[in-house]
Amino acid sequence: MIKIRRSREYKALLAIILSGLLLGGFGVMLSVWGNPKNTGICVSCFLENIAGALGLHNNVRMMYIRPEIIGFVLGSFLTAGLTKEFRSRGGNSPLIYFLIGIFLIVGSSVFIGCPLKLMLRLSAGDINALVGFGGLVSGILIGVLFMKEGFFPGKPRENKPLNTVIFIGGTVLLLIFLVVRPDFIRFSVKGAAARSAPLLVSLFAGLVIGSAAQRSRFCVTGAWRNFFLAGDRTLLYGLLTLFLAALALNVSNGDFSLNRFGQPGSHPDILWNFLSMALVGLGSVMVGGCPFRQLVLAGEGDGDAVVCVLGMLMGAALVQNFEIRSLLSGPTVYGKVSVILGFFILIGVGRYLLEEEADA
Amino acid sequence: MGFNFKKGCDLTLCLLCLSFILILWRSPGRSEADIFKPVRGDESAQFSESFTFHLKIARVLSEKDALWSEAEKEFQLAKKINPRNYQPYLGIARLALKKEDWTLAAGNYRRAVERNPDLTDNNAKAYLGKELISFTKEAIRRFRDIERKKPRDSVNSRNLKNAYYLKRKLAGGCD
Repeated sequence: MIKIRRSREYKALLAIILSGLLLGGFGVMLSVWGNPKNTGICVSCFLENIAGALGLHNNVRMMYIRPEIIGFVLGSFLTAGLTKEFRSRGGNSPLIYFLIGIFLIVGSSVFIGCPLKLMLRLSAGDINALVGFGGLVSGILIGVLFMKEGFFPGKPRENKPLNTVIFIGGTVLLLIFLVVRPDFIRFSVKGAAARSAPLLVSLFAGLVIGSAAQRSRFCVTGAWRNFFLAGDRTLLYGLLTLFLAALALNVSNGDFSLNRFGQPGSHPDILWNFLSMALVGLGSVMVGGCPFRQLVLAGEGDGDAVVCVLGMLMGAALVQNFEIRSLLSGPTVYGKVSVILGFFILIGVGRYLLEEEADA
Repeated sequence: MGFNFKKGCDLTLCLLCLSFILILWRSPGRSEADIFKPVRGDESAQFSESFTFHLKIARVLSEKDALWSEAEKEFQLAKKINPRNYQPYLGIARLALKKEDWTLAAGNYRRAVERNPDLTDNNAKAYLGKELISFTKEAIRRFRDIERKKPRDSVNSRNLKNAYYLKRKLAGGCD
């Protein structure tokens, strides 16, 4: 019995280390092959690109259907199907998931990057990312406090598979748009969205990473949440592997430069780097995973994650339209206001759901 | 008396409300935000005849060493007519570089890039490439030298910020 448990633990550890290696490796190499610097993989940036391509915002520099995102979802879907782990479920507080999805992107765009990009930036020597990392862990700690006090958005119910199949269909449609390039889909010819790795390479990377993350349950925020809640370090090993793999590649490519002011895709505002990532940390714990994990969960049939991803897509459009996203000079007023509003709403929601739990 | 989590939440919500109001109250006026809004897409409609006139005159004047101050005046006039256009800032920056005024050059290169991000984008026609890269390298070297000698010089620290901003833009990340 102990042997079986140990063998399962060993397999889980192996899967998580493999995920970390793939994320760290492709995270750096996709930048080398054409993606923007330090942005080999970034869920928030890529969703902003997709929102632009679909005409949800007008920033001509941020319009592209990123194949990596499609790969994450389809890779997870295919693997979950093959291993019989695909289970259509959800239906809990959809608007809360949608709202938190919006604020996950708001926080990420004020920091300039999702938690995955934070790890990649950290491995390139970006000291601002270290500040963001502190913020992220603090946000996760607040989320864990809420969980310990009884925060629970509701138990997921089984529902008809059609609910999630529609989402997978939408993802396949995006892939068709990317290949066929119809007139109504917009693609940037300059700016960050014009920099991209070859389509097939990006898609392959997305599929492999999505598949590995589905098996291993890799999640940047989940790793810390599990550690703080139960002392479980398994996912943390994956995070460490990601960091070390990316660090080794950055050093060997000559892309490692330890400084605060000259880093690509970052701003040096300490306070708002910290607060914005704290918001992402808190929101991620509330919805059960970081933005990357939401994509993987959506692929394996989690309807709540689907709603969260749709919220993230809406957030991606809003941060561009309302100038919430930070510029390289620093956060905008609207960005700061949105982060504060995000904390207000998330803490308010958390408190309300605590109250409900106590009343029930 | 133990810590009441719900009361803690309520207090945090009140503090967030206050900071929300404080940030809005202390935020710059809309007009200033407008000026620093990056130019996107076609801006030809913003050109007026007098703007192009002053710009042309300034460019001609800046060719001759003795007329640099006149050229700068013309660039300033063009800037007043259309503060959103990057060209007068770029003109002033180049002029300042000729005069070895690194402070003025760094500030104006930055303002030009803020108004037209294409200047640092190697996929765009307006990409300044070598000019900006060599300026940024040299500016950072100079400003850091001054920083070592005068660590509390506020003008120099602003200059350094401007130069680092250009470096970040040129690094080619996602923004």
